[in-house]
Amino acid sequence: MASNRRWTVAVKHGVDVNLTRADPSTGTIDLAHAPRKTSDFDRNAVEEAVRLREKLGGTVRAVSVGPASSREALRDAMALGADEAVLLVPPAGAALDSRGAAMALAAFLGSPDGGFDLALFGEGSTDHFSGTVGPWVASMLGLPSVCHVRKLAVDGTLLTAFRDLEDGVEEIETALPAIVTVGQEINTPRLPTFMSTLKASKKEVREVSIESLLPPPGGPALGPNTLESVRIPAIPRKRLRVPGSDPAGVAAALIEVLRGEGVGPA
Amino acid sequence: MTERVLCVSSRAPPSPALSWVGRNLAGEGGQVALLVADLEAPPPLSGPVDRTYRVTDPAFDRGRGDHWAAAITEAARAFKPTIVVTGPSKVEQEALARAAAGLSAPVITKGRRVRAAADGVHAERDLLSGNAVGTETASGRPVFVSLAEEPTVTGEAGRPSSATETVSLAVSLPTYRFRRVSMQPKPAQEVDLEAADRIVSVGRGLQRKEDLPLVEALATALGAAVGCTRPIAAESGWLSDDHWVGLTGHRVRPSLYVAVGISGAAQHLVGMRDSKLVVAINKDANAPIFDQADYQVVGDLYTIVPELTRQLTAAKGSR
Ligand SMILES: Cc1cc2nc3c(=O)[nH]c(=O)nc-3n(C[C@H](O)[C@H](O)[C@H](O)COP(=O)(O)OP(=O)(O)OC[C@H]3O[C@@H](n4cnc5c(N)ncnc54)[C@H](O)[C@@H]3O)c2cc1C
Ligand SMILES: Nc1ncnc2c1ncn2[C@@H]1O[C@H](COP(=O)(O)O)[C@@H](O)[C@H]1O
Repeated sequence: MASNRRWTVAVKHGVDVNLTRADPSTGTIDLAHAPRKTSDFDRNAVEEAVRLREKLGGTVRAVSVGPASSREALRDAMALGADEAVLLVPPAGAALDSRGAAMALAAFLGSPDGGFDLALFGEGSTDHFSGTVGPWVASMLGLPSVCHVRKLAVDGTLLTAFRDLEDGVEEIETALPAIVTVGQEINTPRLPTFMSTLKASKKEVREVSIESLLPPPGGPALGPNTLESVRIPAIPRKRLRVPGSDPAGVAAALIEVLRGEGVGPA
Repeated sequence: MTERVLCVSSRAPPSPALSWVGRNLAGEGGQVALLVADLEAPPPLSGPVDRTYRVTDPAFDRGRGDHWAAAITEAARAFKPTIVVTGPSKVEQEALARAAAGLSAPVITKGRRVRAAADGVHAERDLLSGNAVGTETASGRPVFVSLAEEPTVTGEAGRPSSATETVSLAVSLPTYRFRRVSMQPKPAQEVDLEAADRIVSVGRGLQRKEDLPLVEALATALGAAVGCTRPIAAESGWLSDDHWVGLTGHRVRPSLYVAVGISGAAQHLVGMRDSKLVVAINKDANAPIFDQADYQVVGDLYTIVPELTRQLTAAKGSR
């Protein structure tokens, strides 16, 4: 069955929060040179788009905003099953924050080239977690945003989505095109295989310059919010192994320890 | 520099503490406006607010971020704020992003200690999933800010409102199809983890929901509340969200935190790192949680936890 449905996913090549170390002399982190990887929830977004394609046909397109190194995130997305990839490239040397990414994504997704039925975003990026990019893009395009989606289904041009709010889970029905944001609960991304990774490495990543979408002086600057005095809150811990060779012995030793610390049995 | 601060509270009744955040940001001589959707009751006229914008359109839905965004846009047109500030709820954050987009305004979400200065609006916030804390600065005006936590502090009690002007606001609501089909309410709050002095927290090391009593019994023996990781609350739904500790859950600061079957992801650690004493029980000797623990128990929770409970209970009985 031929289908022209377009599933678009925004993937960020963000700072790898687990590999980033502070400079011991300053206690601060050099974010510009930190190791990077695909933002966690974006992999869930790709997986969900791939499942939609498996069910309803069409094409999954991954879009990232960033320097050439962001191709890595697009390769990841293709290894997970995305069909094509577009990199929106900022002017050389320009820094980029969530707002800049959102403006570039909105300009591309709103262009004739960028059309989609459903666009999927992470509900927050692992490194910055602003949570603004999905709803920002929806607003610019005059589309509905359904955030924190835990389950979704598409039927024709109707989207049904369950979103997780503080006081309950709401079932929303809205019209496509629309934008959703998702978290890790929506699915478990499949593992890329050797073959899918190899195939992804051979696929083209199309580059579009942001200046062609948002030409200065008309387009607002991507000018980033700045981040200062990034420091690691270090809490010293004792890191003592509780001794004992069997559960009873370990439990007894731990209770001794807790007593000594003044937090014994209730 | 004085500011014109527009406070947006989607709560009913609106948060008085949020108006005080606005007052403090506005500075001496600044102006504070409050945007409310009080369809039935008239808005409260006391407090530090100079003007209240009131949405009265019966079609307005206070559970919709896009409706709030439309209201913020309209209020901003009338009030010309230099700062827009909202609470931390998901609907408020969605509204903030949507409204800021219309003005291409910079946004800071989940800010703490927000402060306005000539060079921009500054806020402290978590970065790198809580591995770091930094100050984010947004330059220019207006700046849109959401708070990390629902504010609780109100200013001088009984300070009378300087002005009591209320302005009705006509908003143009989006017309696309968007319907709330159903709402599955979450259980009422069971625990107040922020207030708990001891917490026993459980993660995916627990195999089945039926095994939860193991952990609950340990909590009881220690006089502790039960906490958990995100998957236990948000994915499995074994415990309600008020048990959830971490970046996207609760920040706790008990005198004792016992992490049972928890790997120690950065997003979990940020929620518990202010605990005074941390004990971790994990069968994987290399689990990252051990680096953040005072006392490390390497072992199977299914044997350690019941034994620990038994001995704690016995110790209690023998006193
Ligand atoms: C943006 C973002 C926000 C997030 N927010 C949060 C948050 O607020 N809170 C949060 O908790 N997580 C959050 N997460 C998820 C987080 O990254 C981890 O996925 C999660 O904390 C892991 O939960 P866990 O430790 O229960 O499970 P796992 O990582 O699966 O760990 C289970 C642990 O149990 C141990 N284990 C298994 N069996 C046994 C046994 N029999 N006895 C003893 N030990 C055993 C294993 O060795 C393992 O260490 C967030 C993630 C992202 C990307
Ligand atoms: N530079 C980027 N390129 C592509 N998508 C992005 C980028 N930054 C953010 N996003 C998307 O927006 C989501 C939320 O990011 P944030 O608003 O920064 O928390 C991410 O999970 C991505 O889906």
